Amino acid sequence: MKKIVLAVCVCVLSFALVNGPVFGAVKEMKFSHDNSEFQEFWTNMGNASADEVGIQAVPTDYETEVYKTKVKVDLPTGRAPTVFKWWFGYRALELLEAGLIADLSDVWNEVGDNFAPGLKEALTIDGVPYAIPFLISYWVWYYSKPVYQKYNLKPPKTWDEFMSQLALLKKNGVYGIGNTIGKSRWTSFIVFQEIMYRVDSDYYNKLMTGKAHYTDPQAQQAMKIWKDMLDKGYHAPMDLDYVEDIPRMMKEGKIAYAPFGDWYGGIMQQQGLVPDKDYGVIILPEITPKGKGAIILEVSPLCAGKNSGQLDLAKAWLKWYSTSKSASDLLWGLRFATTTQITPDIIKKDDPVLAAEMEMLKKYPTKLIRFWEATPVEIVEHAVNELNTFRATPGDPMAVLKSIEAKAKETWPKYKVKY
Amino acid sequence: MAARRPNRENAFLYIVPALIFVLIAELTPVVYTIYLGFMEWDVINPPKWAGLKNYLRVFSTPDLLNALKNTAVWVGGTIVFSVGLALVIAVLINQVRLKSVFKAIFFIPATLSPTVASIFWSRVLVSQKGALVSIFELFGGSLQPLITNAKFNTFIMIGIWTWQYLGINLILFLVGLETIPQEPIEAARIDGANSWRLFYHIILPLLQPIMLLVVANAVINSIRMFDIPWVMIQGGPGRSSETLAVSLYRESFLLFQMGLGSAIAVVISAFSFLASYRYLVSIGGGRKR
Amino acid sequence: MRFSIVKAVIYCILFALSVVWLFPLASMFMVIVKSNEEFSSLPYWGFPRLKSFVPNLSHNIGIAWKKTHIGVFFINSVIFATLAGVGSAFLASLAGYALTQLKVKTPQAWFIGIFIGNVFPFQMFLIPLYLFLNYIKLYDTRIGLSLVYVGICVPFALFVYRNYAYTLPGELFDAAKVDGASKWGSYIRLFIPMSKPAFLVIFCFQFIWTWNDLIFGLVLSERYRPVMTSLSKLQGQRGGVPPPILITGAIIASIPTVIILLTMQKYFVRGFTLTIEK
Repeated sequence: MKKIVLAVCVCVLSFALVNGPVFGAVKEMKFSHDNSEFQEFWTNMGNASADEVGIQAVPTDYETEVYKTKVKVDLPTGRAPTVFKWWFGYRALELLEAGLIADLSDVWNEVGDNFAPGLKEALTIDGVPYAIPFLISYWVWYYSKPVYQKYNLKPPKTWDEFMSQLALLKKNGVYGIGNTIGKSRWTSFIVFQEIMYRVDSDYYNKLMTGKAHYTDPQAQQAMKIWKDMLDKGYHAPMDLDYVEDIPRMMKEGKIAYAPFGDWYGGIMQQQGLVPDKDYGVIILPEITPKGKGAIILEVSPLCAGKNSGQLDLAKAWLKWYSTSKSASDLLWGLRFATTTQITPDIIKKDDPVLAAEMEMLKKYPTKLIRFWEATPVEIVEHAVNELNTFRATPGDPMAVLKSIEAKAKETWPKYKVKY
Repeated sequence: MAARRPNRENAFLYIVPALIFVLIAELTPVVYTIYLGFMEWDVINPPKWAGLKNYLRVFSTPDLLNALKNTAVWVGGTIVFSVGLALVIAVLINQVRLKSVFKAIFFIPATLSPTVASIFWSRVLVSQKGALVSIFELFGGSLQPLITNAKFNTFIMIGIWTWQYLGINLILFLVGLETIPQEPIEAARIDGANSWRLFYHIILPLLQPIMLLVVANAVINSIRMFDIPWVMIQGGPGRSSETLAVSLYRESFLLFQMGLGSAIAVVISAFSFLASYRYLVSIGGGRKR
Repeated sequence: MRFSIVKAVIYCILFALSVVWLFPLASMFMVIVKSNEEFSSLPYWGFPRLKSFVPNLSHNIGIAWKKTHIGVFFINSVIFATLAGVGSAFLASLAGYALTQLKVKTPQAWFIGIFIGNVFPFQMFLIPLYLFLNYIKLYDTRIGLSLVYVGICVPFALFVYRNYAYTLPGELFDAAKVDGASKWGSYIRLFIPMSKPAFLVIFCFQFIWTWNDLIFGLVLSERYRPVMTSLSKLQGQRGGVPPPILITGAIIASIPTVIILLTMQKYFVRGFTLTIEK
């Protein structure tokens, strides 16, 4: 009994002694995000803004699904997060339509030059720019240099060449494509997307905006191509995880290609791979001429909650974020070339693979939005499930398309689109 | 003798503190959830009345019926392995020395949080450069993808769950075995009953109170079990290994259909309550006389 | 000591099962004594040089500790888990005393009423509790989160306590009442000492449960989170640390619960054994 009383006293004492942090004259600003692995990064960012403009951004991290819920619960109330990381496209549309995120036109007018052209448009819906970019990435195909060297391969110039490469690799026991379920169910749309827009990029856009159907011939063609690749065993085992297993196996020469946004370079380097020595990046050739010159763009934006009561603080902070050198340096630490302050020379010095990619991108002017954000959430979530079942156990592609089509028919009316 | 004041009100005071805490932390959320089950709410817009629609959807949507089936598999698997095997091990441990060592071995996994256990299992044990795969490779074989195989990933996950949960049941059974009255057992032994008869006809019935507690608890916990199927494969591939606990998470926090998620939660709880009802009312009120 | 075939078979079975149960934990050992480079270059079951075991381990511990800032979270978890364990055991003892030794009109109904919340999946509590704590201005405070933990721990505590208290000899309490003891007196002088094992068991179970919680600490607080939330800094969709550091961090976060169990387990069975002295 005495032990328990003692324990309780110790606790009460600790309670009293360990206080929350005490801030000085700087203003505190709440910042929310869903990448716990970046908590230190955002803390450093918050300290930098405190030093430079007297605004201490206090970051709080959450697990992704919980994060989405909490932010949505808070946005209509006074607890709305001042600045928070979100998703663009349709995932921001619902917030904008509900009047929950702020119009950032005045911020863009002041700092727009710090970002590459076209980004403002990507973050604008119905004429309202609603976000500042955090992470900008284009979706490319990473390849293993050891594999290329061993089998004397070069970046394929035609789709057929790519297919022959995969066949050759398969014969030699190398997995062609690292696109697996692992711990990330969301990756199931990637290969479908990559093939789809290379068949017809215009059709891809129409499909995303409800002007084309999942049962159309173009989609069927894409699914047939993918099924063929799955059946021939070009994919790596579905259990692999993309953060650790795929980079390691690419270094060991067991996996040849992996399609990801170019933020994947940072992950590769974290796993100990050296850019240009262990891995490189290519953009796959188109399948038909209608798929030429297009590339998938993904933007992770920072939005400001309209009801936070600290909107001025948010805008001031975002302006600092867009223009400060310290902010850009911190971003580059993660290998995110977000602002124009990260010049091609810097990129070339620190990450030659990214620099090479930037050069390649000049030939791909058509920017398409990533599937995850390009079309309503209900369709995406359903499609992701169906495609996961499909890539784990490839069945009838038409059945998958019909199922997604049914979901689309059910969903589009909610968004006032005649389907 | 003067009439005594009735005990009832004073006795009630002893219950009140517990009641207040539970009211705040659990009962009010329960009422809120039941209420939400009758609504359609996507969190950013105000809730709309939906009547019984959500509750009906739980029993008519194919994906949710599949989840119901998976949940039944989990409950069955838990009872057979986590409870049945625990009983066997408890009886065995009772016969040998080194009891504390064995108890510790089986119970340590139960002290791990689901977060830590899932880190161990998904990151190290089941992953490609993991312990299990590497052992197979040492002997020249290769292991097919385990977790993404829709046919048996549920059983593997039940295995992981058993690894964690068996320890708790084991301790409870050991406690039960120690506290049952020894006289009937001694008497039966003197009468010459063999071990199997002893166990089946004497010990097992005496263990009934503890057995009810363990089974009730096991059913409740296995119906609610969410962390393992979610962390390992998010109820996939697709939705094939989804249990109702995963469904409710998916509907609520992925698809923002709070009403449907709440309805699923209420249905799960109703099952749990019905399954454990027998235990809950079996111990009569008042004290042993 | 007679040696029997049966006993040998039993030992064999238990040994085999123990190996199966220990295997996952033993596998962790292979991971934490390697450095990141050694983990990716060596095969999984390959050993690094013996003399680099300890330096690797210390290095992993150092980095894991630093990256997660686990120290602060440890303190928070100690506070929450201890309060939940002691608080719920205390509240359950009061209610258990009333339900089993005092005359309450419908003890079963009260028990079910208190227990019913426990059959619910806890994820559904997140939003209502979040809104409630904000409403009473206890969101993101140690008190608020502690109250929630205690509240959630009470039902199972009562579950165990009632089961145990039911077996206490009612005659002792009758005798005390005849001698003029008050209800509170009997509670303090008879019930509490006699139910010490139940108290300890509940403290143990609920300390462990609260220590292991992730979801409530994540949602109901921002500055005072428990230790399991710190582990997510080591892994995510945009990167994370390789297994040696990740597993080391996970083990560090788990040590207290293992210690609590190993030290308390002797009380479980010994305590539950009744000896009735007449």
